[in-house]
Amino acid sequence: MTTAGGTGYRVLLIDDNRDLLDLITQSLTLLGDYSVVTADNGADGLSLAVELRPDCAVIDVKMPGLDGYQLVRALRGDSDTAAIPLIILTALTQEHYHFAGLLAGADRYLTKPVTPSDLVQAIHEVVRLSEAERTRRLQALLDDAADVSS
Amino acid sequence: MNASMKDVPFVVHAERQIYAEYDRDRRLRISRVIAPAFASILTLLIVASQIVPQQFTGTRGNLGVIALCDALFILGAVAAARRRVNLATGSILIAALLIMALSVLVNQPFILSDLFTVPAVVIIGLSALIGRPWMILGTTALATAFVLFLSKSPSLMHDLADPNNVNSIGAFIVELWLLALVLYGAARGYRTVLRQISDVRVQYERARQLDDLKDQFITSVNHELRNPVMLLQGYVELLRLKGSELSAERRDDLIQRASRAGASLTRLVQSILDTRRIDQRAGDFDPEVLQVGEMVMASASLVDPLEGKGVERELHINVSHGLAVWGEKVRLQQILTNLLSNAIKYSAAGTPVEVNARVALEAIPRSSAWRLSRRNSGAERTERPMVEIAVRDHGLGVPPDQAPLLFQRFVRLPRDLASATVGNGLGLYLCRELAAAMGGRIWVESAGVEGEGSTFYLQLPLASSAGAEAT
Repeated sequence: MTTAGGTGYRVLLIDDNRDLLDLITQSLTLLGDYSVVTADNGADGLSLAVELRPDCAVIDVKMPGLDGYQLVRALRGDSDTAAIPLIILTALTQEHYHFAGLLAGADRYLTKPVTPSDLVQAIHEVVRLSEAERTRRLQALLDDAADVSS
Repeated sequence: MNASMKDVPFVVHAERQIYAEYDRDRRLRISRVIAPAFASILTLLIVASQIVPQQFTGTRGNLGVIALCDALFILGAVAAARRRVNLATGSILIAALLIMALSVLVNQPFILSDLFTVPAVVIIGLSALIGRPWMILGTTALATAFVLFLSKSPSLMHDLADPNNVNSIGAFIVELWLLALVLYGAARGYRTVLRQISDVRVQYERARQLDDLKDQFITSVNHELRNPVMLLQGYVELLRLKGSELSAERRDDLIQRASRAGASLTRLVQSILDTRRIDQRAGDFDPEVLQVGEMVMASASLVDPLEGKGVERELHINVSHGLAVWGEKVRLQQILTNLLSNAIKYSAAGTPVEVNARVALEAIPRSSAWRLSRRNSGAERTERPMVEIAVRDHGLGVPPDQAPLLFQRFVRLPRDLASATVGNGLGLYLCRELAAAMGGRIWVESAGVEGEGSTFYLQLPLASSAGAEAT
């Protein structure tokens, strides 16, 4: 685990690419004045999320061990972490990955490359999401899925 | 069990076997019908002959032959069930020949056209149906021998005395052989057509696999490109937005990070372009004498330290002084850099990488040597001196069943695709093509056990001027 200080939101970054962790940490501290905590695998990310209850978590999908989808489901399934705003940040661009990410419980699904300012904006948006809005979005997604399957 | 890419033609051989498999399946399917059917009929016949013997006019010897034929058909059925195609078809044909002989012998005196022709034609037709082309000729030869044997029979001699049957024996044998030759030609033609159809199918399969590999490659490259692009774009934007507020030291750090991301992007694009370039100039080769030790050292210095996650690794080099190969500097450096880079990338930090080189005599396969000696009117050339460079790591190893895939274009092992290890599936393909362009080859040996690692072998022609010195 590494941390970078700031006075704004506390953001947990989980990605197995250390170069990207460095970039996003610098971006968030410079542009958003966030305090950033990083983990380079899903299992560490999960325990940090439980321990720190961050204001937002940015999660990669392809990671050794616990992958991003499993991590999102685990966080949403635990009442202590279910309300944490979650962003999936991945290089997987296909539509079905996107859908699977949102269905797992992520609030936003961003595909790399994302500029630092876009990422900061996305974090701002999801942090402000109310629980009611999150539930409404998930329900709409499930309705869409039901329409497609019927 | 060792996985080896030494036998690269295995893939080609396997493809060539596809058409043989079609024919084998066809013969097995027919045998699986004929053998049990005749075995059942003959078994019923034997049982009936024991229950109501008065209905059967044969000697005990005849019954013995029928029992033998029954046993052969049962053997054929069992062999067909176990996919032993030659045993199955051989048993059926011998049983059929015995039945033919029996039918002729028990019906003496006989007339060739009525009693011999039909079984002979049936048996030769059967051999064409379930046998290989040579079996048609074999069966016909046996039938001819049987006819000639019978021609000594007093009853046949009597039969031949009939002016209507004069010349029957000769004409009959000629007819048999004409039939056999027609069927032989048809069977060969059928096999040729089958081979051509199979070739088309092999080509189709190859094209389909290549298509799948390209899809996989595009997905992989798409994924691999996005990280360095995001790094480059991200650091540039940070510099643009916040550069003026940062200290010079911090600005330099961001610029260096952006630069590294750009270099990583360039390497990825370069390797993609290299595959195309190699495809286009495979024969364009400018060789020189290259000292192996120097080349290994130069290549090691080119390996990106980031491949080893920044951890220093021990490199053990065991190369005789003066050992040299006949090759092209840039190509050899590219191969060695790739092998060393992979050895570091796919093994745990702290484990060493070993490079050994020795002179090895490459044996030319016996069939090739035979063809070569025929072509060269007996020239004795069955092996040639090569330099074998082995790069060994102590990493994850390569699963034996996946080893043959490694040197194909766009291929990455499923394990690596699921891991964070960066790669584009082109490096070893390039190594194989570059080695082949220099008259050499490359293969891997690995038990697929984590910690035991893999050894990649590169063989290149020994530089003759250095050969005597080295050996």
